[in-house]
Amino acid sequence: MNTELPKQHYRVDPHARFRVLDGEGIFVLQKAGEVLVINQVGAFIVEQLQAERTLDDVVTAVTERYSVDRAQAQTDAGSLIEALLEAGALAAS
Amino acid sequence: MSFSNTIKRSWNENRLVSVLLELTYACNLDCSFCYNDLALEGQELSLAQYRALLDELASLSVLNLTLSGGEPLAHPHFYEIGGYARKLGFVVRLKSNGHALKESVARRIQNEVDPFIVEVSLHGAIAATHDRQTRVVGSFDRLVSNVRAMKSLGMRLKANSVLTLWNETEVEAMFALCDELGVPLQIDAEVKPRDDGDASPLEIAASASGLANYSKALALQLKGDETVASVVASTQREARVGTEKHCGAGSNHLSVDPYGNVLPCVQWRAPVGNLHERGITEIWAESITLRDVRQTTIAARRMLEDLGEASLVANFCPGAAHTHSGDPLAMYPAAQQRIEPGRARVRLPVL
Repeated sequence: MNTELPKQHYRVDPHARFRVLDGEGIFVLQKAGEVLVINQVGAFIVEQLQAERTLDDVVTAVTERYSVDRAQAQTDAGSLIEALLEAGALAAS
Repeated sequence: MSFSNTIKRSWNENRLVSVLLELTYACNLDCSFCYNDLALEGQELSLAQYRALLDELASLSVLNLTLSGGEPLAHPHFYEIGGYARKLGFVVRLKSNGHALKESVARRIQNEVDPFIVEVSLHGAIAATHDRQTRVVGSFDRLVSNVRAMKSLGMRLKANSVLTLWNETEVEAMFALCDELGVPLQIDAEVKPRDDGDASPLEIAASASGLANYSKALALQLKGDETVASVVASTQREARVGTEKHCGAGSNHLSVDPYGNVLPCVQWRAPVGNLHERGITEIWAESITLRDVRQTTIAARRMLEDLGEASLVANFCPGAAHTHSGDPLAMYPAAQQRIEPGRARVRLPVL
Protein backbone atom coordinates (compact mmCIF):
# COMPACT_ATOMS: atom_id res chain seq x y z
CA MET A 1 0.00 0.00 0.00
CA ASN A 2 1.23 3.44 -0.88
CA THR A 3 0.22 5.36 2.24
CA GLU A 4 3.83 6.33 2.94
CA LEU A 5 3.50 8.85 0.09
CA PRO A 6 0.49 10.94 1.20
CA LYS A 7 1.71 14.04 -0.67
CA GLN A 8 2.24 12.16 -3.91
CA HIS A 9 0.18 13.17 -6.95
CA TYR A 10 -1.17 10.67 -9.46
CA ARG A 11 -2.68 11.13 -12.89
CA VAL A 12 -4.26 8.97 -15.55
CA ASP A 13 -1.43 7.26 -17.41
CA PRO A 14 -0.79 9.00 -20.77
CA HIS A 15 -1.61 5.73 -22.57
CA ALA A 16 -4.85 5.19 -20.68
CA ARG A 17 -8.19 6.95 -21.04
CA PHE A 18 -10.71 7.49 -18.25
CA ARG A 19 -14.37 8.40 -18.18
CA VAL A 20 -17.15 8.13 -15.64
CA LEU A 21 -20.14 6.44 -17.28
CA ASP A 22 -23.32 6.00 -15.31
CA GLY A 23 -21.39 6.35 -12.04
CA GLU A 24 -18.82 3.70 -12.91
CA GLY A 25 -15.23 4.51 -13.79
CA ILE A 26 -14.06 3.17 -17.15
CA PHE A 27 -10.36 2.93 -17.93
CA VAL A 28 -9.33 2.03 -21.47
CA LEU A 29 -5.76 0.75 -21.39
CA GLN A 30 -4.67 1.63 -24.90
CA LYS A 31 -1.47 -0.41 -25.04
CA ALA A 32 -3.00 -3.58 -23.61
CA GLY A 33 -6.27 -3.11 -25.46
CA GLU A 34 -8.19 -3.73 -22.25
CA VAL A 35 -11.05 -2.08 -20.40
CA LEU A 36 -11.04 -1.78 -16.64
CA VAL A 37 -14.26 -0.93 -14.79
CA ILE A 38 -14.17 0.43 -11.25
CA ASN A 39 -17.07 1.17 -8.93
CA GLN A 40 -18.54 4.52 -7.91
CA VAL A 41 -16.18 5.09 -4.98
CA GLY A 42 -13.19 4.19 -7.15
CA ALA A 43 -14.42 6.58 -9.85
CA PHE A 44 -14.72 9.33 -7.23
CA ILE A 45 -11.13 8.69 -6.08
CA VAL A 46 -9.79 8.89 -9.64
CA GLU A 47 -11.73 12.09 -10.29
CA GLN A 48 -10.12 13.57 -7.16
CA LEU A 49 -6.69 12.54 -8.40
CA GLN A 50 -7.44 14.12 -11.78
CA ALA A 51 -8.14 17.35 -9.93
CA GLU A 52 -4.50 17.16 -8.78
CA ARG A 53 -5.31 16.30 -5.17
CA THR A 54 -2.76 14.38 -3.10
CA LEU A 55 -3.57 10.98 -1.63
CA ASP A 56 -4.01 12.72 1.71
CA ASP A 57 -6.59 15.11 0.22
CA VAL A 58 -8.36 12.23 -1.51
CA VAL A 59 -8.68 10.29 1.74
CA THR A 60 -10.21 13.36 3.38
CA ALA A 61 -12.66 13.74 0.49
CA VAL A 62 -13.66 10.05 0.65
CA THR A 63 -14.12 10.24 4.42
CA GLU A 64 -16.39 13.25 4.08
CA ARG A 65 -18.42 12.01 1.15
CA TYR A 66 -18.99 8.42 2.22
CA SER A 67 -18.89 8.86 6.01
CA VAL A 68 -16.25 6.17 6.49
CA ASP A 69 -13.46 5.78 8.98
CA ARG A 70 -10.28 7.61 7.88
CA ALA A 71 -8.03 4.59 8.39
CA GLN A 72 -10.37 2.45 6.26
CA ALA A 73 -10.53 5.13 3.56
CA GLN A 74 -6.74 5.37 3.52
CA THR A 75 -6.34 1.61 3.20
CA ASP A 76 -8.96 1.33 0.43
CA ALA A 77 -7.72 4.34 -1.55
CA GLY A 78 -4.11 3.15 -1.23
CA SER A 79 -5.02 -0.34 -2.42
CA LEU A 80 -6.99 1.00 -5.39
CA ILE A 81 -4.19 3.33 -6.45
CA GLU A 82 -1.64 0.56 -6.13
CA ALA A 83 -3.76 -1.74 -8.31
CA LEU A 84 -4.32 0.99 -10.89
CA LEU A 85 -0.60 1.80 -11.00
CA GLU A 86 0.16 -1.87 -11.56
CA ALA A 87 -2.44 -2.09 -14.35
CA GLY A 88 -0.98 0.92 -16.12
CA ALA A 89 -4.13 2.98 -15.57
CA LEU A 90 -2.47 5.57 -13.31
CA ALA A 91 1.00 7.05 -13.20
CA ALA A 92 2.77 8.98 -10.45
CA SER A 93 3.29 12.61 -11.40
CA MET B 1 -19.19 -4.91 -13.23
CA SER B 2 -18.80 -5.38 -16.96
CA PHE B 3 -18.24 -2.94 -19.75
CA SER B 4 -20.82 -4.62 -21.98
CA ASN B 5 -23.48 -4.10 -19.30
CA THR B 6 -22.47 -0.45 -19.04
CA ILE B 7 -22.86 -0.09 -22.79
CA LYS B 8 -26.22 -1.88 -22.77
CA ARG B 9 -27.45 0.44 -20.02
CA SER B 10 -26.38 3.40 -22.15
CA TRP B 11 -28.84 2.25 -24.85
CA ASN B 12 -31.66 2.15 -22.35
CA GLU B 13 -30.80 5.38 -20.58
CA ASN B 14 -29.78 7.41 -23.65
CA ARG B 15 -26.23 8.10 -22.50
CA LEU B 16 -23.98 9.27 -25.29
CA VAL B 17 -20.86 7.06 -25.35
CA SER B 18 -19.56 7.14 -28.94
CA VAL B 19 -19.45 9.79 -31.64
CA LEU B 20 -18.20 9.48 -35.21
CA LEU B 21 -16.99 12.62 -36.96
CA GLU B 22 -16.91 12.67 -40.73
CA LEU B 23 -14.33 15.44 -40.94
CA THR B 24 -14.40 15.82 -44.71
CA TYR B 25 -15.62 14.08 -47.85
CA ALA B 26 -12.36 14.93 -49.61
CA CYS B 27 -10.36 11.81 -50.41
CA ASN B 28 -7.11 10.83 -52.08
CA LEU B 29 -8.74 7.71 -53.59
CA ASP B 30 -11.71 7.55 -55.93
CA CYS B 31 -13.71 4.42 -55.09
CA SER B 32 -16.59 4.09 -57.52
CA PHE B 33 -18.89 2.62 -54.88
CA CYS B 34 -18.11 5.16 -52.12
CA TYR B 35 -21.24 5.76 -50.04
CA ASN B 36 -20.51 9.43 -49.29
CA ASP B 37 -22.89 11.94 -50.82
CA LEU B 38 -20.34 14.12 -52.57
CA ALA B 39 -23.03 16.49 -53.83
CA LEU B 40 -24.13 17.38 -50.31
CA GLU B 41 -23.71 21.10 -49.66
CA GLY B 42 -23.30 23.13 -46.52
CA GLN B 43 -20.93 25.19 -44.45
CA GLU B 44 -18.06 23.12 -43.10
CA LEU B 45 -17.44 23.21 -39.37
CA SER B 46 -14.52 25.44 -38.39
CA LEU B 47 -11.68 24.39 -36.13
CA ALA B 48 -13.19 26.52 -33.35
CA GLN B 49 -16.50 24.69 -33.78
CA TYR B 50 -14.75 21.30 -33.61
CA ARG B 51 -13.00 22.38 -30.40
CA ALA B 52 -16.30 23.53 -28.91
CA LEU B 53 -17.92 20.25 -29.98
CA LEU B 54 -15.16 18.16 -28.38
CA ASP B 55 -15.41 20.23 -25.17
CA GLU B 56 -19.13 19.51 -25.02
CA LEU B 57 -18.64 15.81 -25.77
CA ALA B 58 -16.06 15.52 -22.98
CA SER B 59 -18.53 17.23 -20.62
CA LEU B 60 -21.10 14.63 -21.65
CA SER B 61 -18.57 11.90 -20.70
CA VAL B 62 -18.37 10.59 -24.26
CA LEU B 63 -15.67 7.92 -24.35
CA ASN B 64 -15.16 6.91 -27.99
CA LEU B 65 -14.44 9.31 -30.81
CA THR B 66 -14.03 8.07 -34.37
CA LEU B 67 -12.35 10.33 -36.92
CA SER B 68 -13.59 9.36 -40.34
CA GLY B 69 -14.33 10.82 -43.76
CA GLY B 70 -13.89 10.79 -46.72
CA GLU B 71 -10.27 10.58 -45.80
CA PRO B 72 -9.91 12.27 -42.40
CA LEU B 73 -6.26 13.12 -43.02
CA ALA B 74 -7.39 15.31 -45.90
CA HIS B 75 -8.96 17.73 -43.42
CA PRO B 76 -6.70 20.79 -43.07
CA HIS B 77 -6.97 20.69 -39.27
CA PHE B 78 -6.77 16.93 -38.79
CA TYR B 79 -3.84 17.07 -36.35
CA GLU B 80 -5.32 19.93 -34.33
CA ILE B 81 -8.63 18.10 -33.98
CA GLY B 82 -6.99 14.73 -33.25
CA GLY B 83 -4.54 16.26 -30.79
CA TYR B 84 -7.31 18.11 -28.98
CA ALA B 85 -9.33 14.88 -28.78
CA ARG B 86 -6.34 13.19 -27.19
CA LYS B 87 -5.92 16.04 -24.71
CA LEU B 88 -9.55 15.70 -23.66
CA GLY B 89 -9.12 11.98 -23.03
CA PHE B 90 -11.18 10.41 -25.81
CA VAL B 91 -10.45 6.91 -27.05
CA VAL B 92 -9.73 7.85 -30.65
CA ARG B 93 -10.41 5.50 -33.55
CA LEU B 94 -9.05 6.60 -36.91
CA LYS B 95 -10.80 5.32 -40.04
CA SER B 96 -8.55 6.01 -43.01
CA ASN B 97 -8.09 4.43 -46.40
CA GLY B 98 -4.42 4.08 -45.39
CA HIS B 99 -3.07 5.64 -48.58
CA ALA B 100 -1.34 8.57 -46.84
CA LEU B 101 -0.18 6.65 -43.79
CA LYS B 102 3.48 6.31 -44.66
CA GLU B 103 5.90 5.88 -41.76
CA SER B 104 6.56 9.58 -41.05
CA VAL B 105 2.84 10.38 -41.10
CA ALA B 106 2.01 7.36 -38.95
CA ARG B 107 4.66 8.37 -36.46
CA ARG B 108 3.25 11.89 -36.24
CA ILE B 109 -0.26 10.48 -35.70
CA GLN B 110 1.06 8.17 -33.02
CA ASN B 111 2.77 11.06 -31.24
CA GLU B 112 0.08 13.71 -31.60
CA VAL B 113 -3.21 11.81 -31.70
CA ASP B 114 -2.29 8.46 -30.10
CA PRO B 115 -5.28 6.58 -31.55
CA PHE B 116 -6.46 3.37 -29.93
CA ILE B 117 -6.74 1.82 -33.38
CA VAL B 118 -6.26 2.73 -37.02
CA GLU B 119 -8.67 1.11 -39.46
CA VAL B 120 -7.66 0.93 -43.11
CA SER B 121 -9.53 -0.15 -46.24
CA LEU B 122 -8.54 -3.22 -48.22
CA HIS B 123 -10.35 -3.82 -51.50
CA GLY B 124 -8.72 -6.98 -52.79
CA ALA B 125 -5.91 -9.47 -52.34
CA ILE B 126 -3.99 -8.28 -55.39
CA ALA B 127 -3.08 -4.89 -56.82
CA ALA B 128 -5.24 -5.28 -59.93
CA THR B 129 -8.42 -5.72 -57.89
CA HIS B 130 -7.68 -3.21 -55.15
CA ASP B 131 -6.55 -0.52 -57.61
CA ARG B 132 -9.57 -1.18 -59.82
CA GLN B 133 -11.86 -0.34 -56.91
CA THR B 134 -9.88 2.67 -55.67
CA ARG B 135 -9.25 3.89 -59.22
CA VAL B 136 -5.71 4.85 -58.14
CA VAL B 137 -2.87 2.86 -59.63
CA GLY B 138 -0.34 1.80 -57.01
CA SER B 139 -2.75 2.17 -54.09
CA PHE B 140 -2.52 -1.53 -53.15
CA ASP B 141 1.27 -1.60 -52.96
CA ARG B 142 1.26 1.63 -51.01
CA LEU B 143 -1.34 0.33 -48.55
CA VAL B 144 0.59 -2.89 -47.90
CA SER B 145 3.81 -0.93 -47.40
CA ASN B 146 2.08 1.53 -45.04
CA VAL B 147 0.50 -1.29 -43.03
CA ARG B 148 3.91 -2.89 -42.56
CA ALA B 149 5.36 0.46 -41.44
CA MET B 150 2.55 1.05 -38.94
CA LYS B 151 2.91 -2.48 -37.58
CA SER B 152 6.63 -1.87 -37.07
CA LEU B 153 5.70 1.22 -35.02
CA GLY B 154 3.54 -0.97 -32.80
CA MET B 155 0.23 0.57 -33.87
CA ARG B 156 -3.00 -1.41 -33.46
CA LEU B 157 -4.57 -1.91 -36.89
CA LYS B 158 -7.63 -3.38 -38.47
CA ALA B 159 -8.54 -3.80 -42.13
CA ASN B 160 -12.07 -3.25 -43.38
CA SER B 161 -13.38 -4.45 -46.70
CA VAL B 162 -16.63 -4.54 -48.63
CA LEU B 163 -17.44 -7.66 -50.61
CA THR B 164 -18.00 -6.77 -54.24
CA LEU B 165 -18.41 -8.47 -57.58
CA TRP B 166 -14.76 -7.65 -58.26
CA ASN B 167 -13.17 -9.07 -55.10
CA GLU B 168 -15.61 -11.87 -54.25
CA THR B 169 -13.25 -14.58 -55.49
CA GLU B 170 -10.39 -13.26 -53.35
CA VAL B 171 -11.88 -13.55 -49.87
CA GLU B 172 -9.63 -16.40 -48.74
CA ALA B 173 -6.59 -14.65 -50.20
CA MET B 174 -7.54 -11.42 -48.44
CA PHE B 175 -7.73 -13.25 -45.11
CA ALA B 176 -4.34 -14.87 -45.89
CA LEU B 177 -2.82 -11.49 -46.73
CA CYS B 178 -4.11 -9.96 -43.51
CA ASP B 179 -2.87 -12.94 -41.50
CA GLU B 180 0.56 -12.39 -43.02
CA LEU B 181 0.38 -8.67 -42.20
CA GLY B 182 -0.82 -9.43 -38.66
CA VAL B 183 -4.00 -7.39 -39.08
CA PRO B 184 -7.56 -8.58 -38.39
CA LEU B 185 -9.88 -8.28 -41.37
CA GLN B 186 -13.59 -7.52 -41.31
CA ILE B 187 -15.56 -7.88 -44.50
CA ASP B 188 -18.95 -6.27 -44.93
CA ALA B 189 -20.88 -8.43 -47.37
CA GLU B 190 -23.21 -5.62 -48.35
CA VAL B 191 -22.48 -2.81 -50.80
CA LYS B 192 -24.58 0.11 -49.61
CA PRO B 193 -26.41 2.69 -51.70
CA ARG B 194 -24.91 6.14 -51.59
CA ASP B 195 -26.01 8.32 -48.68
CA ASP B 196 -28.32 10.27 -50.99
CA GLY B 197 -30.11 7.03 -51.92
CA ASP B 198 -28.35 6.62 -55.29
CA ALA B 199 -28.28 2.87 -55.88
CA SER B 200 -25.55 2.87 -58.52
CA PRO B 201 -22.90 1.39 -56.15
CA LEU B 202 -25.06 -1.75 -56.00
CA GLU B 203 -24.03 -2.47 -59.60
CA ILE B 204 -20.93 -4.10 -58.15
CA ALA B 205 -22.70 -5.86 -55.27
CA ALA B 206 -21.45 -9.42 -54.79
CA SER B 207 -23.21 -12.20 -56.71
CA ALA B 208 -25.11 -15.05 -55.04
CA SER B 209 -22.19 -17.39 -55.62
CA GLY B 210 -19.80 -14.73 -54.30
CA LEU B 211 -21.85 -14.44 -51.12
CA ALA B 212 -21.81 -18.23 -50.77
CA ASN B 213 -18.03 -18.31 -51.22
CA TYR B 214 -17.68 -15.52 -48.72
CA SER B 215 -19.74 -17.44 -46.15
CA LYS B 216 -17.60 -20.52 -46.77
CA ALA B 217 -14.36 -18.56 -46.37
CA LEU B 218 -15.64 -16.87 -43.25
CA ALA B 219 -16.67 -20.21 -41.79
CA LEU B 220 -13.07 -21.38 -42.17
CA GLN B 221 -12.05 -18.49 -39.97
CA LEU B 222 -14.47 -19.63 -37.28
CA LYS B 223 -13.82 -22.46 -34.91
CA GLY B 224 -15.74 -25.62 -34.14
CA ASP B 225 -19.27 -26.07 -35.44
CA GLU B 226 -20.02 -22.41 -35.82
CA THR B 227 -21.42 -21.10 -39.06
CA VAL B 228 -21.64 -17.49 -40.14
CA ALA B 229 -25.42 -17.60 -39.63
CA SER B 230 -25.05 -19.08 -36.16
CA VAL B 231 -22.54 -16.42 -35.15
CA VAL B 232 -24.74 -13.61 -36.47
CA ALA B 233 -27.79 -15.11 -34.75
CA SER B 234 -25.92 -15.53 -31.49
CA THR B 235 -24.66 -11.95 -31.60
CA GLN B 236 -28.15 -10.64 -32.33
CA ARG B 237 -29.65 -12.80 -29.56
CA GLU B 238 -27.10 -11.44 -27.10
CA ALA B 239 -27.74 -7.86 -28.24
CA ARG B 240 -31.44 -8.27 -27.43
CA VAL B 241 -30.87 -9.14 -23.77
CA GLY B 242 -31.56 -6.34 -21.31
CA THR B 243 -32.87 -3.78 -23.77
CA GLU B 244 -36.01 -3.14 -25.77
CA LYS B 245 -34.04 -1.42 -28.54
CA HIS B 246 -32.74 -2.96 -31.75
CA CYS B 247 -29.54 -0.87 -31.70
CA GLY B 248 -27.92 2.10 -30.03
CA ALA B 249 -28.44 4.53 -32.94
CA GLY B 250 -29.30 7.88 -31.40
CA SER B 251 -29.32 6.29 -27.95
CA ASN B 252 -25.63 5.89 -27.19
CA HIS B 253 -24.00 7.06 -30.39
CA LEU B 254 -24.22 9.79 -32.99
CA SER B 255 -22.42 10.85 -36.15
CA VAL B 256 -21.62 14.33 -37.39
CA ASP B 257 -21.06 15.12 -41.06
CA PRO B 258 -18.60 17.79 -42.29
CA TYR B 259 -21.39 20.38 -42.46
CA GLY B 260 -22.48 19.98 -38.85
CA ASN B 261 -25.48 17.74 -39.51
CA VAL B 262 -25.96 15.45 -36.51
CA LEU B 263 -27.10 11.96 -37.48
CA PRO B 264 -28.35 9.02 -35.37
CA CYS B 265 -25.50 6.91 -36.76
CA VAL B 266 -23.20 6.85 -39.75
CA GLN B 267 -25.69 4.79 -41.77
CA TRP B 268 -28.86 6.57 -40.67
CA ARG B 269 -28.67 9.77 -42.70
CA ALA B 270 -31.63 11.58 -41.17
CA PRO B 271 -30.34 14.74 -39.44
CA VAL B 272 -31.59 15.29 -35.92
CA GLY B 273 -30.02 18.75 -35.65
CA ASN B 274 -27.23 20.94 -36.98
CA LEU B 275 -24.25 22.26 -35.02
CA HIS B 276 -24.38 25.62 -36.79
CA GLU B 277 -27.72 26.15 -35.09
CA ARG B 278 -27.47 24.35 -31.74
CA GLY B 279 -24.83 22.70 -29.59
CA ILE B 280 -24.61 18.92 -29.30
CA THR B 281 -25.75 18.97 -25.66
CA GLU B 282 -28.96 20.72 -26.60
CA ILE B 283 -29.56 18.47 -29.59
CA TRP B 284 -28.95 15.37 -27.46
CA ALA B 285 -31.38 16.50 -24.78
CA GLU B 286 -34.07 18.23 -26.79
CA SER B 287 -34.22 17.08 -30.41
CA ILE B 288 -37.70 15.76 -31.10
CA THR B 289 -36.38 13.98 -34.21
CA LEU B 290 -33.85 12.18 -32.03
CA ARG B 291 -36.61 11.07 -29.68
CA ASP B 292 -38.44 9.67 -32.71
CA VAL B 293 -35.27 7.79 -33.75
CA ARG B 294 -35.03 6.19 -30.31
CA GLN B 295 -38.67 5.11 -30.55
CA THR B 296 -37.99 3.73 -34.02
CA THR B 297 -35.22 1.50 -32.69
CA ILE B 298 -37.81 0.06 -30.27
CA ALA B 299 -40.27 -0.39 -33.13
CA ALA B 300 -37.54 -2.07 -35.23
CA ARG B 301 -36.91 -4.56 -32.45
CA ARG B 302 -40.62 -5.41 -32.24
CA MET B 303 -40.91 -5.72 -36.00
CA LEU B 304 -38.01 -8.17 -36.12
CA GLU B 305 -39.30 -10.17 -33.17
CA ASP B 306 -42.59 -10.55 -35.02
CA LEU B 307 -40.63 -12.19 -37.85
CA GLY B 308 -39.43 -14.86 -35.43
CA GLU B 309 -36.06 -16.60 -35.15
CA ALA B 310 -35.26 -16.06 -38.83
CA SER B 311 -34.93 -12.34 -38.20
CA LEU B 312 -31.82 -12.99 -36.09
CA VAL B 313 -29.75 -13.50 -39.23
CA ALA B 314 -31.23 -10.52 -41.10
CA ASN B 315 -28.58 -8.17 -39.68
CA PHE B 316 -31.25 -5.53 -40.23
CA CYS B 317 -30.11 -1.91 -40.01
CA PRO B 318 -32.74 0.85 -39.71
CA GLY B 319 -30.18 3.26 -41.18
CA ALA B 320 -29.70 1.09 -44.25
CA ALA B 321 -33.48 0.75 -44.55
CA HIS B 322 -33.83 4.53 -44.38
CA THR B 323 -31.23 4.97 -47.15
CA HIS B 324 -32.94 2.37 -49.35
CA SER B 325 -36.52 3.62 -49.08
CA GLY B 326 -36.75 6.51 -46.64
CA ASP B 327 -38.49 4.18 -44.16
CA PRO B 328 -36.23 2.90 -41.34
CA LEU B 329 -38.65 0.05 -40.67
CA ALA B 330 -38.94 -1.25 -44.24
CA MET B 331 -37.15 -4.48 -45.10
CA TYR B 332 -34.54 -3.93 -47.83
CA PRO B 333 -33.17 -6.43 -50.37
CA ALA B 334 -29.93 -7.46 -48.60
CA ALA B 335 -31.64 -8.07 -45.25
CA GLN B 336 -34.47 -9.88 -47.03
CA GLN B 337 -31.98 -12.14 -48.81
CA ARG B 338 -30.36 -13.07 -45.51
CA ILE B 339 -33.69 -13.74 -43.85
CA GLU B 340 -35.17 -16.06 -46.50
CA PRO B 341 -32.93 -19.13 -45.93
CA GLY B 342 -33.43 -18.70 -42.19
CA ARG B 343 -37.18 -18.65 -42.66
CA ALA B 344 -37.01 -21.81 -44.73
CA ARG B 345 -35.06 -23.55 -41.97
CA VAL B 346 -37.56 -22.43 -39.35
CA ARG B 347 -40.54 -23.51 -41.43
CA LEU B 348 -39.20 -26.92 -42.38
CA PRO B 349 -40.10 -28.74 -39.13
CA VAL B 350 -43.60 -27.26 -39.31
CA LEU B 351 -44.09 -28.64 -42.80
